[in-house]
Amino acid sequence: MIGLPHYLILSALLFSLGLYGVLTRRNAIGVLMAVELMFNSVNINLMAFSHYMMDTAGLAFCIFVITVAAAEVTVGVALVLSVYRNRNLIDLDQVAELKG
Amino acid sequence: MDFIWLVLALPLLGSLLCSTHYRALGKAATGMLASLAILGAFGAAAATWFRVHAAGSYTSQLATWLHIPGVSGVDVAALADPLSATMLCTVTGVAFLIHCFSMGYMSDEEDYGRFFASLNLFVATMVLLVMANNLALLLVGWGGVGYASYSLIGFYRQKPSAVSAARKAFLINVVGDVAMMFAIFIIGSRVGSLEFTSFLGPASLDRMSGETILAAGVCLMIAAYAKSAQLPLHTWLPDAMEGPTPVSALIHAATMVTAGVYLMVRCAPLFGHGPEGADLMVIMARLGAITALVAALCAVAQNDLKRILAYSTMSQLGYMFMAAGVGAYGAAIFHLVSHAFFKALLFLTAGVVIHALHGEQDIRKMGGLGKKMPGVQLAFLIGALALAGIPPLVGFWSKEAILLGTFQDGNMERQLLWGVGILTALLTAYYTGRAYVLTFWAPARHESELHLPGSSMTWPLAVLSMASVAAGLAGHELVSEVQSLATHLPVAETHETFGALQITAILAGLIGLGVAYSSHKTGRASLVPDSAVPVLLGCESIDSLSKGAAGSFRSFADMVAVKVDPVISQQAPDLIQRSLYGTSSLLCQLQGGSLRLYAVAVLASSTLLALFVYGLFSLSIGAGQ
Amino acid sequence: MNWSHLLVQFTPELAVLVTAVWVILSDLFLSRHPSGLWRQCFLGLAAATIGAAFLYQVPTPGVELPAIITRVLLVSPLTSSLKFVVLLLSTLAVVFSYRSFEETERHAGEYYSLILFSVLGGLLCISSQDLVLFFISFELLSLPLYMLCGFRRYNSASAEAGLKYFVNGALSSALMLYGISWIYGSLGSTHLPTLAANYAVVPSPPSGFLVGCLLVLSGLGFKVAVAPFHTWAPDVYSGAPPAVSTFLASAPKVTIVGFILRLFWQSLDGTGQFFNLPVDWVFLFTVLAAGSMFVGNLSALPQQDVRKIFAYSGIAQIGYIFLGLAACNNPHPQQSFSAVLFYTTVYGISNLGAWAVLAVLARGQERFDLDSLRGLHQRNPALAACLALCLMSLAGVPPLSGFMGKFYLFRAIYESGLPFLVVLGILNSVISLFYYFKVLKAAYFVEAEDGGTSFLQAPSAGPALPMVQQLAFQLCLWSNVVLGLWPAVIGEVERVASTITQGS
Repeated sequence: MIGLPHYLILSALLFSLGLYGVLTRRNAIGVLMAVELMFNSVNINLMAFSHYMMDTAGLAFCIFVITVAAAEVTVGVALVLSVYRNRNLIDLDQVAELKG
Repeated sequence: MDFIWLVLALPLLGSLLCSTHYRALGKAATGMLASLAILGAFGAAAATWFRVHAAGSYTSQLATWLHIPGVSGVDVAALADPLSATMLCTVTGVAFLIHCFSMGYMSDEEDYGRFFASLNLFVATMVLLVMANNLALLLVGWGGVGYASYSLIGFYRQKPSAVSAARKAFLINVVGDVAMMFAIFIIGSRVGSLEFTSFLGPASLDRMSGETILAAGVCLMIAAYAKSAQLPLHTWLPDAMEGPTPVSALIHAATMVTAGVYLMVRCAPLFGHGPEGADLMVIMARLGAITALVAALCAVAQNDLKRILAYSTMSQLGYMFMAAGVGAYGAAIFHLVSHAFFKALLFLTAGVVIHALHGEQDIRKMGGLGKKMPGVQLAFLIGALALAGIPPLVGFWSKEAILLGTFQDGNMERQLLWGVGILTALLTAYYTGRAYVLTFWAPARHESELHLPGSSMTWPLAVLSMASVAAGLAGHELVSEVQSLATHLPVAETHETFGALQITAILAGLIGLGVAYSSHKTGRASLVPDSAVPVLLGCESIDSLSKGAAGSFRSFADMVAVKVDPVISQQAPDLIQRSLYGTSSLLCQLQGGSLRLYAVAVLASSTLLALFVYGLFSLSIGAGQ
Repeated sequence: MNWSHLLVQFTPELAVLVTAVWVILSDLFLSRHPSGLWRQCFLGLAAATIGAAFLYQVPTPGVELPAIITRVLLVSPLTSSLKFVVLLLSTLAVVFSYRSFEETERHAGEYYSLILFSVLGGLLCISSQDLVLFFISFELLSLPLYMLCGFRRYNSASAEAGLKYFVNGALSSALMLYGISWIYGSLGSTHLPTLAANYAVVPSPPSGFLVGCLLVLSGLGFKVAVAPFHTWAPDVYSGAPPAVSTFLASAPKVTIVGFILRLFWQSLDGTGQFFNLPVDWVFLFTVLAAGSMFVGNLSALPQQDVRKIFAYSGIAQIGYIFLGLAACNNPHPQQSFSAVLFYTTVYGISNLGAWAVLAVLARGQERFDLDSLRGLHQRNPALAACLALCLMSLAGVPPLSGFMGKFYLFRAIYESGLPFLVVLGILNSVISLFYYFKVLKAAYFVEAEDGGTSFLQAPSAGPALPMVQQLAFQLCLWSNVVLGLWPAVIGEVERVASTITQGS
């Protein structure tokens, strides 16, 4: 029988995967995708809670999160593009001109 | 909001505008602006005075300054009572005339903006000092006056003597500031209020122990002595002559030295309370008499016109402290006001004379000015006669009020004080007479072309002269009137209206003048033999005493600087600095610029926060429990 | 339902929203002239500021707002005053960015509308009564900031700053969101008062809630750059255009500190006994505060780039504010509240004033090392004076506002029974003097070699600054004095602070 804990564990796994991606990916687009994964794991969390608590607020929140995530990615891609135009690379390890 | 705040706001605004916009304004407009600001302040002060006399004293509170648990009355609030209103009128009125005078006197100076900004600030801080209704706000004015005088005494900053005089004045004033702070701490902690009407009320005075009154009184007296140049904290005043002459006039007449007398009169109930207060008053009276006499002796031995006047101020302040010490507060304030007028007159006239002689200040090198500047001569004469205490000029009445207040039948101490007063009066008459005679009547001892004053410099003299004369002619009625109007305190009772005591005083004055005149006739520049000069200048020996003390301290400091300091101030800070910089370079290496490293830091920190919970709390997933 | 009341109560938000949309439309269809767009943006923000001041001065008692609004948005003295401060800072930041991008970028309109949307996000964030609205407004605040940091698209430092800020910001947003989902799951609501009520009835605090709170705190901490969430700040501040840093360093920080106060004390403490949570909050906040102060102050010491110095000083300043927050964890936090509010306001204005000098200088120079400030007092005395007063205020030199702020803060901390924290704070104030005076030394005591690289070459020639910027500089300069000496301000802050725990 699949219950709330299973959903929560799934979401936690996805979240961790996303985290892992953010931390290990050198490609900026990969990092963006990993962030997206984290946002979506939150969505699973929210929907699971919403379903098992019989509360619709979580679903509404979910829709907002999807919207915000989309906006977030748009901004992210724009910024990656601007770095790419300046330096011809999207390797995050080499975007380290500012430091100290 | 009351118009009493205008008295403060206008000079402050003037100071601000003069310091920031003097280039745009130009010289004439800057001076005009500064003078108008003071004139407006004078108007507001006069309005306050009339309101106080029509409707009684009142307090105008703008805001609460600080909330200190256990101490009330640290407010931005003004106290308008007869005393402060009278002081405000005097300060702003005299300051206005001095400002007008300065417009002519300083017209050759480059740093016109700085001068008038400081001058306005000087008035503003003095006004704040006078109108403050609590000691904390008063301290702001108290310190501000010290700062403003510092910047003005050292106005000619390319002159080393001026700079060192300014530093000296500032240092001695800081002694007073520190004493004042101690007084505030004592009163604040013992009484719980810094507001005059509250901590000087009979109820809180009764609650104060004798020691508290003694300690607070001594601190207040030290503060007042430093500000009012009383023995032994007087050494800055003669040196303060290094500033431009209008500044000297302001310091001596209106804004600075009177602050100490004001403080003593303001805190009169404290001194009038209990045996300790009485003891303090005896000390105050004695020190005042001694200062009056010693300063007069110093003045006798001086040849510098401005230094003579400086010592005469010290001497007259001694009178005021003596009056405060015997409880004749009204007389003290009356003398303060009248002294403000004739001393401003004397200083401004001296300024004209020195201006005319291209900076010559030695009276032995002056002379013959009477014919060339008859108006100035008349003005100086009026001032000198007022200072010498010759009726019917105003100085006579105010000095008489003090002497009458001092004399008491059957009280040796009081009679002795009176005797010192009379002796001082005689000396005063002599040295003022001498200065006058040598400056104006003696044959000219200078060749250069005179630099005659413009009208902006002469009309303030005329106003001040007329004020001295008119107030003197109004004479006797004025005495008790002003005394009762100027303070809320009872007027000291006098035994006789016009009798032997006054006649003695007048005689003393006349004898002094006569001696001065006769010595002029015999052609001697000074009655004092050269060998006696160092003796008479005894009070200046305090200066060398303090220099000696400073010297030994200095050598100790040198020793510390050579032997001890390298260890403490170089190696220890070096060590600290090295360790700080070591840590910081370590930290900066962490800031390597790698984006992923930063992300790791964010994540690790969040995890740490979460672990923080795990450590203290067992996890229980509880959805909707 | 009375819509006119609604309009009145949310005048600032509506004004900002209308201006933002108007600026976009005007940029698209009417005129692309930068000064015109700047003027529209400035007027809109100024109107909003005046509106906020008016709402603060004249609260409308007894006005019943529609329940649908009050459920998500709160109007209280705290929110009104915070909105006023945020709008004032934003207006000043916009004033200082005048003509910052005309030469290098063609898209001035986008710059202004981005700032306006960010401000709108901040305003909603301050008022938000529901975690959903909070999250959305937080993102509305953040997303424009990412773009603003990378606004100079053809400058690789600016682009890198934008990307760095974005990736770290997105990560912290995701963490915070995950935390919110756990708060929602463990207490069954996102509405703050409901959360508080639910929390009051649960037998033992659910750990999901606890972890959620901490993750939200870490997200907020990231935004205000408190250590150890500060790593982005030095790079972003130094890479972003100084005009953007001016905004970034002031208004969003005040917003977030205000929201932390609301989230952790107003919403939860009213009924939720927040400090009954089995977490040593004093210790937690102290660790964050001490870390920030030491990292900020120590790292600022060897820096040569003025922007980096300011960035680290900002981190250190947030540390002081968190010290104050640590002192809020006791049954009578009013004094600490008012100290935190006052210090935050003072910090916002002083920091803005310091950055504004760089923002204005940035129109003529690319380098911002200490040498580039040489002889500033000759080249432009007004700028130098503003810089000097703001930095001295930040360093806590009496009688300036920063000193008063620190005085109140340390007094509140001391009276909360945490004298050790006062020692920490004072120690750090001493360290901070080093680098603040290093900047002042460069601006005042080192003469320019050759008239300098700045846009104002001749001494005392002051053609470049437009009137409104001069006035804004005067405002920054004098506010340091006035806030330090004018006691009525403290009284107002105390009044606002006393309303915080009175519930919503």
